[in-house]
Parts: sequence; structure tokens; C-alpha cells
Amino acid sequence: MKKNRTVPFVAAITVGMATMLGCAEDTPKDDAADQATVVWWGYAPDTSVGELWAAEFMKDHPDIKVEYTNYENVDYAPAMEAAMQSGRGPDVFPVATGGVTGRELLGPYGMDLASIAEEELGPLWKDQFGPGYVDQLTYDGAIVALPVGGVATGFFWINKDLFDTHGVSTELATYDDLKAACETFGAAGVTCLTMGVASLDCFIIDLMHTISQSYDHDYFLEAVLGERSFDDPTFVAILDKLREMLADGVFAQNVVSIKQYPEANNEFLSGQAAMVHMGTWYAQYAKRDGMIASMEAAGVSNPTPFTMMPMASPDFAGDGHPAKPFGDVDYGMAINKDTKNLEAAKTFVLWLTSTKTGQQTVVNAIDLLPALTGVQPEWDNLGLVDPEIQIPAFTELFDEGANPDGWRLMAITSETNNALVVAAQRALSEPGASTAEIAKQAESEVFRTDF
Amino acid sequence: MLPAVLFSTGLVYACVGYVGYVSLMPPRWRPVYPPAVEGFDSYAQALDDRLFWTSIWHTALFFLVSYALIVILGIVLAALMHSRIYLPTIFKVIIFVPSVIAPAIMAPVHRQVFAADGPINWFLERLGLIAVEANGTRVWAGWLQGLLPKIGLGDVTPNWIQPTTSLWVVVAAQVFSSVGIAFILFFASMGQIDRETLEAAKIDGAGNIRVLWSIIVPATRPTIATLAILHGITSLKLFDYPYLITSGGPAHSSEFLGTLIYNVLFGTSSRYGYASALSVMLFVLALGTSVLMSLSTRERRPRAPKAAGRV
Repeated sequence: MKKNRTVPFVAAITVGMATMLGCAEDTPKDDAADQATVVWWGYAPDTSVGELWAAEFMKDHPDIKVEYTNYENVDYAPAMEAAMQSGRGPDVFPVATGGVTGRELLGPYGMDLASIAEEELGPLWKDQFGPGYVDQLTYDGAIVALPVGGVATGFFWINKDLFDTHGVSTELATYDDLKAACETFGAAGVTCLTMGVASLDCFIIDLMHTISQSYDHDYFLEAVLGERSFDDPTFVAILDKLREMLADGVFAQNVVSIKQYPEANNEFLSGQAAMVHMGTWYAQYAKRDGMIASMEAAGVSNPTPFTMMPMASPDFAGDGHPAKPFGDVDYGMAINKDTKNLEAAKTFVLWLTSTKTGQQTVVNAIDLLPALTGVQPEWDNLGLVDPEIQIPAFTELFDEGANPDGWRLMAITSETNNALVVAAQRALSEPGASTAEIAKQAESEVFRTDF
Repeated sequence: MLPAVLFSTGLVYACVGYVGYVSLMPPRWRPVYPPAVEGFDSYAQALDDRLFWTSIWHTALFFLVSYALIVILGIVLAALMHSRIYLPTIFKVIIFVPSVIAPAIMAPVHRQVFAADGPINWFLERLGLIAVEANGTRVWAGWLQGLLPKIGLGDVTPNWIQPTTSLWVVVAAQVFSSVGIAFILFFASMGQIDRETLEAAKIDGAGNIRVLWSIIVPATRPTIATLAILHGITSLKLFDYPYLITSGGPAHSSEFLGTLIYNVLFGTSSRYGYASALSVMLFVLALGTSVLMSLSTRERRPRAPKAAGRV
């Protein structure tokens, strides 16, 4: 006879549920049940910094819990697109001014924050942020994100300990000085300038912009905006310089095989490379705790922090015009149009961007230049590895970055980003192709739009 | 059972249909914009896109070379397994294990193997075929230094993930991870061969190579055909290894349709219309290829005599 197993199964489920319900009635009400949760995804800041900001916010707002998830730069846009299309996106997310994490891609998912900012900061609210920062986060007439902080690049970060160990000057005024330094490092088995061009992220564009400023100060932005072309002799000269840097051993041979993150970043932080071309966001690793964590993440066991310093760009063209830091808003924080936690998300975004406490927390991570005017990092309390020599250099860098010499990514569409990276990849890996032909192809693939 | 089948197949074909619908939108259309059917602009753009044809060419090259290598290695390794070898189980495990390791795990290993300072170059350095200059740059040395320019490979440097060689790095990675499956299929297929036929051939004086070529290979023809279909579809859909090892580059030198679609969708402005058109073309290519291969490899049977008319 066939045994009916359904009855005991249903009975067991019923008893189980009754038991659980009974337990639930006896359990005291958990405060966490009233806590709103803000889900925050981002490509920046690093996880440890994001968690620190969230913790500081939750001290001020214990009724709101912030959960942060960090993605690698190249993974962020795909993750966001898929999540937003399926209605499972985060409540708040960063939007950059340009590039593959920029407002052009992510702006449509954010709500217009103009009225929220005006309500919080008054009618002149835009003036309270860094130069042009709010405009750089405007998409289709809407303020899609409020500035969290600015960024500047156009200089190098150096491992001062390696420079000192190998007797190399930390002031490399000309390209020949850079080349000579790299010969010294190369002979000692140290990578001179680590750079990763394997993926389509924008770091090689920053370096090309730095080189470009040396040849023709205004050229790069004019070409990005369409006032000049990328098959201009200046761009050809930039590509030729990249080739020269590879031939001279300034770049390591793996420059087109590795990515800036994580590989080039790890080479620098693990002490295998003397220099890296990054921006002000990299200052965060100059803090003793941040450096130890990042060195461990780079594979170093029992790390000893080294002294990291910014170094002005050499004069690549040799005519006395080295680059000055250029930059724009690094990113702003957007609120998902479809968020179900609007009030909590608003509270978090306004705290982070528009309050002195929030901005002080942000800038003390020295990941970003201050977005809100009048806030500066508390340099003496940051736990830098060697405050005596780092604080004057960092203060000067942050002052220069607050008044940048031109935009960084503001006008770069993702197609332009792609075309310029591919041009760099070709210049560095196709010795048989003429740089004039590579430049011509880049010009045919860029996409310009009105900003 | 039937509702589940209808639901799952319906879901798949509904998605295919939706992609077809989106492919008729403007190339830069995204789901956040209102729908606006514009026609076949994205298809025309694809046919005019240098990268589309580059991807097709890479797919064809990848298929031809990797399929040939997988079949040859699969047959040779399976034949070795059928002969008397030492520690056969360990042999089988060593050959098969790469097939069960996820590409996400294998890709970093391949990146390291083919790195400028990786084990391949280390080995070539020990053979005197690579020299390291004072600044750390590796250059060809020995007889290889003279040979490469003569055969038109003067641009190749000892850095494998570069435009001249990155496609072949992807081929090597795919062969390494696929040969285990081919080996198992051929091993099973060879087990069906009548031993008496093999013994008769030996008695008639056929050597190992002759037996392999004249008896074993013809007997495993259905397996070769099946692998052609499976590998043809794998080649068209290829994404994981090129994306994880080379990101489709440098300079699109290892771009495939899968990586191109991904980059168009997520790397360059989220062009849903254009990416959908490319996806539809990939779908048609995969379907057409599998149908053609099935037809061309179908066993030819004698035609049945016509049925007698009713009386």
C-alpha cells in the first residue's frame, strides 16, 4: 500500500511555524527593526574608507544603517546597469563627471537633487562647493549628484624610501632626469614607473594629459572638446613620447599587459615600483594605517610603511613647461530615483556632502579634495608615516588641487575614453604602426558632446 | 512537467524576442529612454564596424586553431591512455582536471604564466633565447633574435599579452581547459572499437601511427563531428578567457563577439540598441553554424526504397 507522506509533512511544518510564532511573541522588540537601511554601492572610496564614513554617519544618525559595497572601477558600471535595470539598485551611488563611471551613463538613474540642496543650504548653495563642481555633476538639466570631493592629477607619487636607498633625487625636472632615474632603478631590479594600460580605464589618459600640458598647455582639452583634433601633431608627439618611455625603460615591459588596478597599484604599494601616476585620491595610502592595510592587500606580509610623496611632473617636452595639477569634481553622491528609503538616503547624502562634520570625515580620509569650501584635512591628526616632510608637500598639493589648471575628465565621453586608451595601447604595443596613423584612428573613434 | 517546459522555453524565447525588439531601437538607446523603434540602423552600423569584422575574424581563427589542437591532443592522449602506461588514473586526472576548474580561477594563472616575468620567459631565459637588459627590459637573444624578423615577426617582443600574440594566449588557455573533455570523449569512443580489428591490423603489420590514422580516427569520426559543433558554438560565444586574461586587447587584438558586446554595453556608453543588434547577429551565426555543421556531419544512409503504392 502506498504510504501517504503528505500529512506528517504538513503537520511538522505547522508545528514548526507555530513554535516559531510563539518564540516571536516572547522575543522583545528589536530596535534594529526601526532602523532604516541605506544601501550604498561605489567604485570609490575603498572599502575601509567607506565603512569608516558609514560608521561616522551612524554615530550622528543611529536610526539609519549604511551598508557599503565596493566594486573595482571596471566592474562598477556593469553592476550598476544590471541592478538598475532590474530594479535592485542601491539607494545611493557615486557618479563621476566623465568616463565609464560618469554622469552620462549613471546620471539618468539619479534624482534631481537641486531642490533638496537648496532646502538644506539656501539659495546660494552652489557657491558653497568647489569651483564648478556642481555644474560638472549636471546631466540633462538636473543636478544628479551632490559633490563629495574633488580630484587633481598631473603629478607622480613616489616611494621616497626607494629614492633615498638608490640615491635618486626626488626632484626630476626634465625627461632626461626621469630617464636617468629609471636607469638607476632598472639596474637595481626596481620597476621605475608602474603603469597598467590593459583595461579601458582612464589612468593612461591622465598621463597623456600630463605629457600634453608640457608640449602645448591647452591642446588636450581643446581636442577633447573638438576645437582641435586628435590627429594633430601634438597628439602624435604624445604617442611618440609614450613609445620613448617604453624604449627607455621608464615604463616596465608589461605596461600593456597589466591593469592600473589592481596590478600597477599593487606593484607600487608592495615596494616593487618607485613611481606611479595617480591623483590626489592616492594620498590616502600615505596614512600609516591605510598604507599597512593596502600593502597587506598587495600581498606584503608584515609590511613596513614607506614614505609616499607627491612629485611634480618632469618637463616632458624640454621647453620649460611642466604640467600643473589639473582636475575636477571626483564624484558626487546620487540618490536612486526609485529608492524606497528616500528620507534616509537624503539624510546620508546631505550629511556626507553638505555638513561640516560629514565633509571633515571625508577629507580626513585624504581620498578626496574637499567639496565644501572652508573644510581642510586635519593634517596633524591623520597618522601620516612621516608628518614632518609629508604635511608641507601635501598641503601644497591640496591647495593646488583646489584651484586646478584645467579639467580632468569633465568633457571626456566614454567613447573618447575608449579611443584614447586604445591609441595608447597601440602606441605601446605595435611598433610597426605609425603614431600618425594611430592618432588618425583615435580621432575617427572619439565622440564629443556639448558640456 | 509540460508547464515547466513551456515556462522555461517561453522565458528564453521571450528574452530573445526582447533583444530582437531592442535591436530595432537607435544604436545609443538605453532602457531609461522611451522606446523608439528606428529600424535596422544598428545592423547597418555593425556591418560597417571594423571591430565587428575583427571579432568575426578572431572567432574564425580561434575556432580553426583551437579545434585542430583539441582534436589532435584529445586523440593522442586517449590513444596513450588505451596503451599500457604507468599510473593511468593519475594520467587521466592530470589531463581532465583543467576542464573542471572555472575560467575565473584559471585566468589569473594564465596571466602569470604569460607575464613578461612569468615562467615561460624564465624558461626561455635559461635556454639563452631571452636576455634581460640593464633597465629590466627583456629582449630576444640567440638564434630566435635573428629568426623572428626574417619570418615577419620583428614586432614581437617577449611579452605575450601584446597585439601580435594575445589571441594565441587565449587559444592556449582554451585548449588547456578543453582538451580534457575531448580526451574523455575520445577515450570512450575508442573503447567501442572492435579489438579484433585492431589485432588484425597489427598482424597485417600496421604500425601504431597507421592504426591510429586508418582505424582509430575513422572510428571516432562522430566524436570529431560532435566536438566541431560544440567548439563552434563555444567559439562564437567566447567571453570568459579573453575578458579575464586580455580584456579583449590590447588594442582589440583579442576581441571576440562576446567581449565586443560586453564592451559596447558596459564600456562605451551603454549602447543597448547596438549591443542588441550584435547579440542578434551572434545568435543567428551560432544557430546557422550549428545547423550547417549538423547537416554536413550527418551520417549518410542509403535512401530507403519507395513505399509500394496502395493496391
